[in-house]
Amino acid sequence: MSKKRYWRNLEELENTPEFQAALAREFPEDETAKSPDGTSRRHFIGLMGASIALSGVTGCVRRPVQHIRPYAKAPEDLVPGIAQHYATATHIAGRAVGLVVEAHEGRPTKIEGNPDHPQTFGGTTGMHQAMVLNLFDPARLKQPMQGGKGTDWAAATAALKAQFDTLKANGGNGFAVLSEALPSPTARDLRERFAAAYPNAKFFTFESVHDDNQRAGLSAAFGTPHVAVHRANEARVVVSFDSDFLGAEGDVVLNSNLWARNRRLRTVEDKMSRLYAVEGVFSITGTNADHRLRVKSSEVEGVVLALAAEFAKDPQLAFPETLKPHLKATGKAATDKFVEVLARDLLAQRNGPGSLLIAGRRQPALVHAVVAVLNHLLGNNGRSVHYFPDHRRFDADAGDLAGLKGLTELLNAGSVDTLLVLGANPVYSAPGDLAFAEAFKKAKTKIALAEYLDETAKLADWALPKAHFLESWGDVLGTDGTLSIQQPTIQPLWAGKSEIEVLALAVGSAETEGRDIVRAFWKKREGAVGFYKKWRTWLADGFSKTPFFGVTPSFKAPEGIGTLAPSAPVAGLEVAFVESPFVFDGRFSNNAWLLEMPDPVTKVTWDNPIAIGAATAAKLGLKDADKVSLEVNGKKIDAAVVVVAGIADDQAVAYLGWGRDFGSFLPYHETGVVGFNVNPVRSTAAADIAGAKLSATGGTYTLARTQIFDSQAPGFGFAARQLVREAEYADFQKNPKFAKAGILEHGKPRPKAAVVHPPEKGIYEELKYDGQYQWGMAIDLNACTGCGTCMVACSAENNISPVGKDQTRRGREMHWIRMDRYFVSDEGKPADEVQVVHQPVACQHCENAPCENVCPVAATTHSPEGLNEMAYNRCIGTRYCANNCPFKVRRFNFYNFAKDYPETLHMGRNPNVTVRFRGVIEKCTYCVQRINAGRIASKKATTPEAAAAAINAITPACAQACPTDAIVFGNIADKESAVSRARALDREYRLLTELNVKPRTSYLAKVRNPNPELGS
Amino acid sequence: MATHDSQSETIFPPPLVSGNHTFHSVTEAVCSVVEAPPSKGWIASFLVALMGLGILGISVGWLIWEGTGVWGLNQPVSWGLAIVNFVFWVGIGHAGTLISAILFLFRQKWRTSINRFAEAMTIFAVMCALVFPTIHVGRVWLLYWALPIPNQMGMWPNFKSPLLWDVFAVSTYFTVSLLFWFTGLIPDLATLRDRAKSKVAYWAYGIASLGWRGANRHWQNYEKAYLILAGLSAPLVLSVHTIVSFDFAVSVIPGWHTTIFPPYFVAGAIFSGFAMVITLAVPARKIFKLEDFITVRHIENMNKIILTTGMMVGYAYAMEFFIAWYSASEYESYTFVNRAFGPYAWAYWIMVSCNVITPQLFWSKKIRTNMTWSFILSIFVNIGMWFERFVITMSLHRDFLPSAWDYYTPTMWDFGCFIGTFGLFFTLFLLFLKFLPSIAIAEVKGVMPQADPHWEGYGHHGDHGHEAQPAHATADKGGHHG
Repeated sequence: MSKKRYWRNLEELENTPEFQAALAREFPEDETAKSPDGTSRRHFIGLMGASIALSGVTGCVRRPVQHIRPYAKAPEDLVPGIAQHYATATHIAGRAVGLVVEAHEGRPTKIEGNPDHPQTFGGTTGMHQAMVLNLFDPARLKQPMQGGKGTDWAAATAALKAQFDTLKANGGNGFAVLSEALPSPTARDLRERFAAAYPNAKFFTFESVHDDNQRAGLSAAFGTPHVAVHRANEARVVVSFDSDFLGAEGDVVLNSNLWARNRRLRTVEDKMSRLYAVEGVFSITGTNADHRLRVKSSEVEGVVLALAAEFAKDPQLAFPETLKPHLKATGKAATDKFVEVLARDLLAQRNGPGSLLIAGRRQPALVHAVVAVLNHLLGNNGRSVHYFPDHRRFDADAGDLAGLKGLTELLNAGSVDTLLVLGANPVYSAPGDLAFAEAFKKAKTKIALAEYLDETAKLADWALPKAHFLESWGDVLGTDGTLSIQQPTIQPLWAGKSEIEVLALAVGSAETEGRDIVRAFWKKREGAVGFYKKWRTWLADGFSKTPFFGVTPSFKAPEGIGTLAPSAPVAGLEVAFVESPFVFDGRFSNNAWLLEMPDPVTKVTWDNPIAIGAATAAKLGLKDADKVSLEVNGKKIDAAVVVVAGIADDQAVAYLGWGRDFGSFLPYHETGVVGFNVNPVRSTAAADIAGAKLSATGGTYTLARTQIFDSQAPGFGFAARQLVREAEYADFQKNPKFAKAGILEHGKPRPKAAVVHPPEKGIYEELKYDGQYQWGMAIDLNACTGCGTCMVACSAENNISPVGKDQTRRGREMHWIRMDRYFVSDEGKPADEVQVVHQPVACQHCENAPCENVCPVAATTHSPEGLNEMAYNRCIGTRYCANNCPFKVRRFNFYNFAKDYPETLHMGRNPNVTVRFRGVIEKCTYCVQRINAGRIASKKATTPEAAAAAINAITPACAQACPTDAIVFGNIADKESAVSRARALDREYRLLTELNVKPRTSYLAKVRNPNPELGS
Repeated sequence: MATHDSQSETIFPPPLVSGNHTFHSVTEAVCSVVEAPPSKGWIASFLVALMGLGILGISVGWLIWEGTGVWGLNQPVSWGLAIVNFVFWVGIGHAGTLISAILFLFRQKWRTSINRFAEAMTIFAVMCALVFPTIHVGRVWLLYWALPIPNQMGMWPNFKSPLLWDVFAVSTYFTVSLLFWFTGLIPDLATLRDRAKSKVAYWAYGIASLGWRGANRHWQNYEKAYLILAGLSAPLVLSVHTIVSFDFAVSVIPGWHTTIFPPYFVAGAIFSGFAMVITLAVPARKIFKLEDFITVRHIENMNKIILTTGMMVGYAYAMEFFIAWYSASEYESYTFVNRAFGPYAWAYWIMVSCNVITPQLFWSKKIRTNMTWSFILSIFVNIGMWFERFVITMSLHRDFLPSAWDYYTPTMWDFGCFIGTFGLFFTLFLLFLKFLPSIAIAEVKGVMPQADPHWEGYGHHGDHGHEAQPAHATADKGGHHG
C-alpha cells in the first residue's frame, strides 16, 4: 500500500525552494497584502497608526452624526439602494402629463415623462421636472390653520363637517366653491354629487392662465365649448398666432414632441415643416420660427382677418358668409405681403401634406373662431387639429374670468356665507379691478385648501394643507381624453389632503381616502367585473389605453361666428400678460430650480422685468434694467425693464406669477419678494392685452442674467467662431455636409472657413479608446426649442444647488447644462428683426480634455469609456480646469451652497449622486450613475439581447426629459446605437475641433426652412 | 581717490563707494542702523505695515471661513486678483537673485551695496507670492495634496500640471534664494555679534552666524559656497518665471496660449524686480543715510536695465498683436482686439503707458540720475507690471463661447488680500532693516579702494599699497586704517 501524502498546495507538493524559504519565515507575508506601490500591510498599519495619532491634530473636522435605521418590517419588493419607478400623472392648469416617478427607499426624487403616455412621449417641461422640489419645500403649509393658529385635521374635519351639515340643511344657500382647473373625472363626479347635496350652492372654476377666449371662439364655431388639440407632425406648414405652443401654452410636451418630428432631417430627402409665428411677444415658439411677423399682440387679429380675406378670395373654398364682413387687409405693405405669401403656402398644403394654424390664448374669441374655420377649410380637422370636450373645468359654460367676476359680485353683495377655495389663489391672481381680497373678506367662513400659506390662505378662516400630487390619489384626463391615474409615491409629508378628499368631505361621501374615492368612482363607471385587473393595468401603465372620449366634432355651420365682433387694436404702447414658462401663474414661485432658470430669450433669472424691444426702448427713452412704473387703466405698479431684441414695437411683455412673498427662501437665496406682481394692473376687461404706459422712475434695477454679453454687438466674430452652424433648407439640400465646413453664407461656405486651422497636436500621447463601451451624445439643434427642460432635469438628477439671485448675478450659477442663446440678424436690418439660435452646452467630454492635464492633483481624469470624470473628494479647488475648459462648462462651489438645507430637501436628493462640498469643481458627468446602473443591468442580463437593451436604455436626465428628443445618448462604439446613427448624419459637427480636444458631444446643425418668396 | 580730475573720470568709472569711507566707518554706518534704538519713523512705518498685515489676516481668515465666493470670481474668470498678485510678487522677487547671482557671476562689483536688500526683497516678495497659491484654492486644508508626499492613497500629484511645476519652481527658488541670502549674511552677522552689547543680541547673532571667526578657512569655504549658490541661483532666475508663464502658456485659452510667454515673463520680471529695488532703495538710502554706498551710479545702472527690459516687454506686447493677426485665428485676434478696446481696455492702456511709454524717459541721463524721477518712474513700472498680469489673467473673461462671457469685478476682499501682502512685505522688510545689516558690509569693503592690493594708503598717494588688507578682512580689522 502506497503512502498517502497530505499537502496544502502545489508548492508544498513540489517542495520548491521558494516554499522552503517561505517556511523559514516566521510570519509569512501574503503577497496579495501588498499594495500596488509596494508598501506592505505592516508598513501600511504602521503608517495608519501614525496617521491616527496625527489625526488628533486635525480633529476639528466635524462629521455629521448618522444613524442607520433598519426597516422594522421590510416593504415588499423594496431592495435598499435600488430605485423604484411608479407611473403617475399630474396637470398644470388642467393640462395633463403622464409621468414616471423614481423613488428611493420610499422618497420620490425624480420625475420623468412616461414614454408610453400618448400626450407625453417621455418628455416633460421644466415645471414638471421641478415639482418634486415643491413636494419637499419646507415652506409648505404643514397643518390646518384656524384663524392663523395651527390645529389638526381631526379638529378641522369636525368643524368643517358641522359647517357642511348646516349648509346641506338649507340646500347650500350662501355656499360657494372656487376651484382651480381640475381635469379629474372623479372630481367631476363629486361635483355632480355636490350639486345634488347643495342644490343652491355656486361652483366656480378659476385659473389665472385660462382658455376663455378659445372656449368662446370654439363655442361659436361648434355650438359647444371645446378644446383644440394640435398634432404638428401632421402639418408641413405650422402657423402660430401669438401662441407659445412650444413654450408654456397648452399641451407643450405633446406639441413640442410632434412638431419636432417634422424637423429632424435624417437624410437630404427628408421633408421639413415650416413654422410661421405672428406675435408681439418673443416667445419660445417665436425663437423657433422660420418666419416671424413682428406685430403687437392686439394687431394679430388684423393679420388673421387679412389671412382669412385671402382665403375668402378662393372660390373653391366654402368660406362662411357670416365672417366675410370682418375681412380686410391690414393695409401695411410688409404685413400684407407676408399674409399673401402665407396664404399661398397654406393653400398649397391643402389636400397635401397638411398644415396647422394655432391661435394663442391671449387672442380674442374671433381669432380662435376664424382659425378654426381656416383649419377646417384647409382640411386639417381630424389630421393636425382635433377638438375635444373641455373637461378641465367644472362648469363649462361660464368662463374663468366671468366666473370669478360673478363670485366677486356675490361676495360683495354679501350673499356668500361660506366660501371654499380648492387649490386656487385668487387673492394673488385675480385681476386688480376685481379687488378680490376685499370681496373675499366679506364671506363669513372662508376655507382654503392650499399648498402654501399663500395670499388666499392667509386671509381664510380655515387654511387646509393641500396634498402634493405625489402624495395623493387622483385621476387626470388629458385634453385628448387620455385617462391617467395619479398614483402617490409617498405618504403626505405634512398631513395634506387632496381636492377630491375635501370635496368628498363636503358631499359626505362614504369613502374618505383618496384611493377609495377614485377607485370607487371607476369601479362604478367601469363595472365591478374585471375591474381589479383593469385598475392594476392602469396603475402599471399610468394611463388607460382606451380614451375617455375620442370623437372630433364636425365643424358646424358657424352662425355664432357672426356674433363675434372684431376688436380695435390698442393704440400706442400695449402690454401683454404672459405666463412664465417656469413659474407659470405663480404656482412655482417658491421653487428655486425654476426661479433660477434663465428666461429663454432675456436670460434673466430670479425676476420678471417688463420686456421691451430695442426700438420701443429707444422711443420711450428707457435703458436696460431701468426702474419703471407700469400704468394700465390708471393702475400703477413699480417694475423694471429688460431690453431685448425681437419684441414688437410698442409692445411690452409682463410675466405673470412673480412678486409673491414667501418670507424666507432656501439658504443663499433671496428672501422676501422675488420679481413684480403684475396682477394688480390686469383687469377683467383686458386681462391679457391692455394699453399701457411705461415711464422711468429713476434708478437702475439689479438683474441677474446668466448670459450677459449682448451677443448682437458687432465685431466679436461670431460667424467665424462656427459654434452654431446653420443653413437654409434649400442650401442644405445642395450641400448636405455643410456643417463640417462651417456656416453657410448666401449658400456658400464662408471664405474664411477655407483657412482651417490644422488640428493642434498634443505633447502627450493620446489615450486609446478601444473598450466595449464608449459614451457619446448628439444634440439636434433643429429639434431643440430652447425650452430649458434639460437644465431643470439635470438639477433634479444631479443634486445641483440653486445659488440665488445674488450669486447668479455674480456669474456663479451651477447648471451643468446651460442653454446658450444667440441672436442672428441680417446686416442693415433693425435690431429687433432677429432670429434666435438655442444651443444646449454641457461638458463635451473631450477625448483630449484640456481640463485634465492642468489639475495638479489629478482630480479630473478620463475613464476608459471616454468620460471626463471628476473626483470631488480629490479636488482641492484650484479652478485651473475651469479656466482651461474652452466651453466653460465647469462649475465651482464658491460657497457651501448645500449647507443648512432643511431636512425635507435632503429627502429629495438623488442618493446616487454626491452632494458637493464647498471649494470643489463639478460638471456634467453624462449621468454616470445611470451609465453604471445600465452597465450593471447589462452584466446581470441573461441573454445578449437583454444586455444590449440595458445598454441602449441608458439615458441621461437631460435626454430623458427633453420633450423633443433633441438629445441622444449612447455607446458610440456600437455602430447601430442611436447616438452612432446620429453622429453619422450629414449635419453632424463638433465644437472647437481645431483645438484637437475631440469632443464626445456632437451637434446636428440647424436648418431653417424659410419661404423663398419672403426672402431669408 | 578724491584727486581724480574730470579727465580721469571719463577713463575710470566712478567709485562704487563714495564719501571717503574707511573700513571702520563702513561698519559703523551699516551697524549703527541695527544697533541704534528704532527711530520714530521706523516705528510709525512699522505700525502702518502691521496694519497691512492685519488686513491680510482678516482677509485671509474671512476667505477661508466663508469660501472663495467672497472674492469677485465668477464662472469664466476663475482666476482673479490672487493669481495676478502671485505673478506680480514672483516677478518682483526676481531682481534680488538676479543682482546677487548673475551680477556676481559676471563680476559686476557695483552690485555689492544693493544685493543684500535686493535679496531680502526677493525673499519677502516670494513669501508674499506664496500666500496666493495657498489661499486661492477652494479647499486650503487639502493643499498638501499638491505636494509629492507619499500617502496611503497611493496618489501622486499630476506631474503634467503646470501648477505642480510651479510648486517645484517657486519652492526651489525660495529655498535657494534663502540659503544664498543667509550665506551672504554670515560674516556680517558675526560682525554684529562681535559688536553686540546685549546678551540676547549676542546669542541671537551668535547662533545665526554659525561660529564665524573670519578665519582664512572660513573665507575659503564661504567663497566656494557663495559661488556654488550663485551658480545654482542663476538658472533659477530664468526658470521660475518661465514656469510661472507656463501656467498660462500651457493652457488652450486665447491670450494665454502663447509661446512668447517664457522670455516675455522673464523680461517682465526683471523689469518689475528692478523697479521695486529702486522703489525701496531710493527712500532707504535717504532715510538711513546710505547715499555713499547706494550711489547714483547704482540707481542709474538699474534704470538702464529698466529701460532695456521695458523695451523688451514692449516688443512682446507688439509681437503678441502681430501674431494674433498673423495666426488668422479668430479667437486669438478677438482676444487682442478685446484687450485693447474691450471692457478691460482701461487696464490695457494703463499697462502700456506705465511699461512702455514712461520708461522711455530714462533715455535722458538727467532723469535716470535724478532720484525723484527714478522713484516716480519705478512706481509707474510697478503699477504697469501689476496691470500686465491683470490684463493677461483677464483673457479669461472672453474666450471661445460668447455665451459664457462675463466681467470680473474684484471685491474688497480681493483688494484686502492684495493690500495685506504689502503689509506682510513691509513688516518683514522693516524688521530686516532693523535687525539685519541691510548692506553687505564685508562685500562692500571688498570693492573699496582700500581693498585693492595696489591701494596706496591714506596719505600715501604714489606709494604702492603694501599696507593693503585682504579684500575680505573682517570689519573691525579694516578699521585700523582710520
